[in-house]
Amino acid sequence: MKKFHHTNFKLHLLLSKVINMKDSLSIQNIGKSYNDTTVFKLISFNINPGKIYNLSGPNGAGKTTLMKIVASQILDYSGEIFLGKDNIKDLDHYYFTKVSYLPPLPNLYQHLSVKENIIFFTRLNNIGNVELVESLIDSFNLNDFKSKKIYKLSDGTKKKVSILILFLINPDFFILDEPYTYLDSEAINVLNNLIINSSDKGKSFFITDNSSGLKDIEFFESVKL
Amino acid sequence: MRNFIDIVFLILKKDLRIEFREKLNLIYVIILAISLSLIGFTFIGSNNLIELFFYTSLISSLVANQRISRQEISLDGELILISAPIDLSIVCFAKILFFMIICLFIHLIVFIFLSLISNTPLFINGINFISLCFLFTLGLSSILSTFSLMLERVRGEGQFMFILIYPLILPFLILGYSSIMLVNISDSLFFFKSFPLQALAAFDILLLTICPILFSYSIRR
Repeated sequence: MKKFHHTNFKLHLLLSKVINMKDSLSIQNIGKSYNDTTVFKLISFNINPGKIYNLSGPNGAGKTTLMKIVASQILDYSGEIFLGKDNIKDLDHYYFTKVSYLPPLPNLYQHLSVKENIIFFTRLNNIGNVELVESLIDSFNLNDFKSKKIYKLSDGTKKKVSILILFLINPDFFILDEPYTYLDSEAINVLNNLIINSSDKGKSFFITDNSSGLKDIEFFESVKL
Repeated sequence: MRNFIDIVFLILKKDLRIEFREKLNLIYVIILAISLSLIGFTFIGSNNLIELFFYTSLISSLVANQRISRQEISLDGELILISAPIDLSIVCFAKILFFMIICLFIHLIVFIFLSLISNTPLFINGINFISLCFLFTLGLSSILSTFSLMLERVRGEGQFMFILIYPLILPFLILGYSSIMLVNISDSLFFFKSFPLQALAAFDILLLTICPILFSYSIRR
């Protein structure tokens, strides 16, 4: 059982087997204020390899802000975050080879097709695993949408494409902000399987979920503040 | 180095594909450039065609840049490539090249339209004119691409940092204006040896170096 310093957050910890000893992400005394308003302060926890963490809290508590801080998208915060022994502010773009963030709204180019988006992001991340691409497209039933432009797709399909690209990038740490929103039950199962399989391989997940998609994951252990 | 070039061309190709597919920005730019040329010609007439050409292109580029930079912003208002595992100066460099192409396109539109309505040649020496267009566009693209992307990301007090770059912009515009005054000199060698043009080229190199570094630093620091 882990204790945290702020009452707005409940950090649920799902324990799974640690396959190898990779670096942990250590969040130490993180705080965030906008002008004179404190969103949260003194948040500390570790994200260890092969484990799945669910961040929960009421609306407006700062879940997305905390996720963006951990994903190094927000840089003006108090406290420090370490990847292994390195402060993430010193790692620059190297950090993004280890950590990827899935925002609530899909981060895709609206006027490119599904296939073009996938090709662009895989090339940008220097990924050449064509078999994995095809397998993930099949898993998410995206075969019929490959040549369609993103802006023509439903919100759920856009979300699937975002998730697919994230799992192709396959970082060590997945920061997932509302990953189940817009997804149907079949896609939720596919995502949960991907999360469990990846965590078995030592990948870590930091998830916030208000749509109860995480309830299907076994061995869920909640840690209350 | 190869990786750098690959990524620059990957982003450039993506931007061109989006822009030519969307068409909305291009149509807007064409209408804006033609309208400004017409307004400028009505007020100024054919006496200062070369100045009119650069003013119209400059204003059209300013407005076009603001619209075009929006394509890099995600639905939640962040830069789409902010989490890319690459140095952001590469992204900035690709954006500068992309906007250069758009600026040259604007130059072409304005040139054709002004030539048509004035029925007067815009320039005497083609080499001088094309060289100045290229140098002016390079510096302008560096400043505009970097600024517009930074403005999308940097908020609050951070926006005051733009004041720091003003000392770079002002000399660039003054040198650009001084070079325009010399563009119709028939002797190309004299034009290329002139101080304003050489200083403009030096500023281009400076801006092309500083802007990507400044962009990368301001976004991720």
